[in-house]
Amino acid sequence: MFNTIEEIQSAMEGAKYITDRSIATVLYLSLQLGKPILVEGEAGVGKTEIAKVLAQILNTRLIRLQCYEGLDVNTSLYEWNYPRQILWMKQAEICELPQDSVGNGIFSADFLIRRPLLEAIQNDSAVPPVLLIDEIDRSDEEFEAFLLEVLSDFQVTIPEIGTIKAKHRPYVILTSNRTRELHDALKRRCFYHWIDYPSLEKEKRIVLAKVPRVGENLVRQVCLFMQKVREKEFYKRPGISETLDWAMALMALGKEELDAATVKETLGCVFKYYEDLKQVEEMGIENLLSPLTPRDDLTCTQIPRAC
Amino acid sequence: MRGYRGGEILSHLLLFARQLKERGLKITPDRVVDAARSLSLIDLALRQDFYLVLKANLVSSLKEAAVFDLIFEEFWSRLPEEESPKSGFPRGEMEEGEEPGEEGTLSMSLEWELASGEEGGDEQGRRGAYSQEEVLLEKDFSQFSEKELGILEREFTRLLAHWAIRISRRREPAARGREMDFRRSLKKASRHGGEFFDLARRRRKVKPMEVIVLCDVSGSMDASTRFILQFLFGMGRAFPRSDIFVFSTRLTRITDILQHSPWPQALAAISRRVRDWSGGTMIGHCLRVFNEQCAKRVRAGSAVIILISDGWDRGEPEQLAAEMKRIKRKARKLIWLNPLLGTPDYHPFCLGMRTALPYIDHFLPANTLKGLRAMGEILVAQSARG
Repeated sequence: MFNTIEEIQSAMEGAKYITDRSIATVLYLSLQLGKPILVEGEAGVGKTEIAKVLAQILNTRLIRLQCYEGLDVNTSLYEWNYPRQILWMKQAEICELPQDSVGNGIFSADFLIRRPLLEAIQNDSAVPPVLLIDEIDRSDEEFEAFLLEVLSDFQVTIPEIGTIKAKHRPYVILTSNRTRELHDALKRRCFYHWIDYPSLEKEKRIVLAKVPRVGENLVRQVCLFMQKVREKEFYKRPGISETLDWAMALMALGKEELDAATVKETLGCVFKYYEDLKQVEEMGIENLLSPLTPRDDLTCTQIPRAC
Repeated sequence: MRGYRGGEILSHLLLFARQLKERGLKITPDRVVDAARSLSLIDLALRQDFYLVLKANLVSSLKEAAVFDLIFEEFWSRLPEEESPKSGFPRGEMEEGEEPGEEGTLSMSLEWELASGEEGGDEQGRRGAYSQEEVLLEKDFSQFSEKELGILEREFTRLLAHWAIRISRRREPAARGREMDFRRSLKKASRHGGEFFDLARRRRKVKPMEVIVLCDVSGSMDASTRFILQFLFGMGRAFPRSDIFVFSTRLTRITDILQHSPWPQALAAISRRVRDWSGGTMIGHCLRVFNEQCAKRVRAGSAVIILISDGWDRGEPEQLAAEMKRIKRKARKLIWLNPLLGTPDYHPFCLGMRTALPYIDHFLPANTLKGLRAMGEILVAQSARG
């Protein structure tokens, strides 16, 4: 367990998640008070990654529940394995097994399909798992209401088995892309954190941490290019995941610095919509590149190396 | 935070929370309690941590975060100079050694939190049978008399009540459903000693459909605007998941007005909010604003988008085409209602309309009941397909 905000921050950087104090603070509060975190932000800024890194630094399991419209109790909590139960009953009938063994048999743990929420609640590990509820905004209001219930008590009742209560509450992280507003009641039960696009300095450190063999000059150019692009209006502005993809692609191609031709060839890593690609070309790749070329290596030498 | 003694911070926190609430943040007693508990975990001398902790606790959206930042700056840089918080909070109870998270004190001081009531109740639309309807079916709205307007209003409500459904991925039991329902089958079988006499079935559930309306209120639309607004008013009621905008040179969201106030008040509130009534038209520009700011929240293919305009546009046709294309990609169906289309010799020859036509799924008249009914049929067909 972590006792200070600094400890969390350095542990996260050790796990290659470069962050500022704000995320570490929220995680610290969440670990201390056992309250879930709601993380919002544009796509590709590392929302899901937080949960993965948290599981990694706590050295525990990550249980992920991906939300979609129509997600319900049976696909998120538990379900009886009905076809198997029916087969078993038929078999018992043919073999003329005693009645009570059939009754107890088919409603035992063997026939229970445990879905992510039940997995998270019914855990015996010393360190509770991290439960990631991803893209909660995609689920519908009914599921949100149900989730509210689970998150407040961390216990579920299965009529045939009984009530299962979490021995240790899992650490819960919810992410949302803001395709719709979440219900106030759910927001109220969470710490809120908004992840913005990173600053130039931070983005450079992230790339250097995640793609360690890439040249510093290329990193500087890529990040400057991204910062510049994000100032403009696009259908989908590129996030950090695009920066990382791009840096890796450039490295795989053996490039050491950006030029117009290279950018043009690899622009598909950065923009995923035809309109956006066209818009960049209309803006002129040369124009976007021009401020990157003058060799003032001031910014470059200041890059703090990730640990 | 320098300048605060141990127990003092709590009363300031309460004041701060109250200010946030007055500015529209969703503050509840339990959030304030958690904020107080969180503060006990950190070193209060570090202003940045203090800020981050309060923010994590008291903010619940990006919009709120901006308001928070503003008030935080104002509140916590000003307070230490002041004598004491000027409020009715029982100062005596906040002694130095007291646990910051003690709920009793907080819940007493926080009674004001609970005062906020529910939003105004929903007025159920009345249904009325109407016989003259056939005659009025093709009549232009602008030629309706005062008496006929009442009929029109009822007709709108009736039309709308039928449309507001959509099929979802949730299941419900149904005798002739397409899917097997194992859980219920098993339950039924146990009634007959484990014999499967009849299999339970289920089908997809019907849900309210999402509808987004963008309505032109520029000068050229003046003749029909009133009726269309009336129609939109009904729309806002019938489709709980609708989002309604008006535009001429700028885009204004009026969903909240339409859903929460009765018609006369709504009309007044709309005219107060919409500052570009009867102005020129910048369809492309307004659609761009919509695409940038509002459409991102809409899942592609989930909503029917309805545009109401005569297509007279002063903006660039290229922009209009580009934005129409983006809307088209978002929409489950894109319907364009044109108030001129009902007139017998109308042809869509103005540039704006010609530019937009290739992207439209359905092009219908907006000035007759027949056109609106056709739109209703399209919406119903959408829900039937799921």
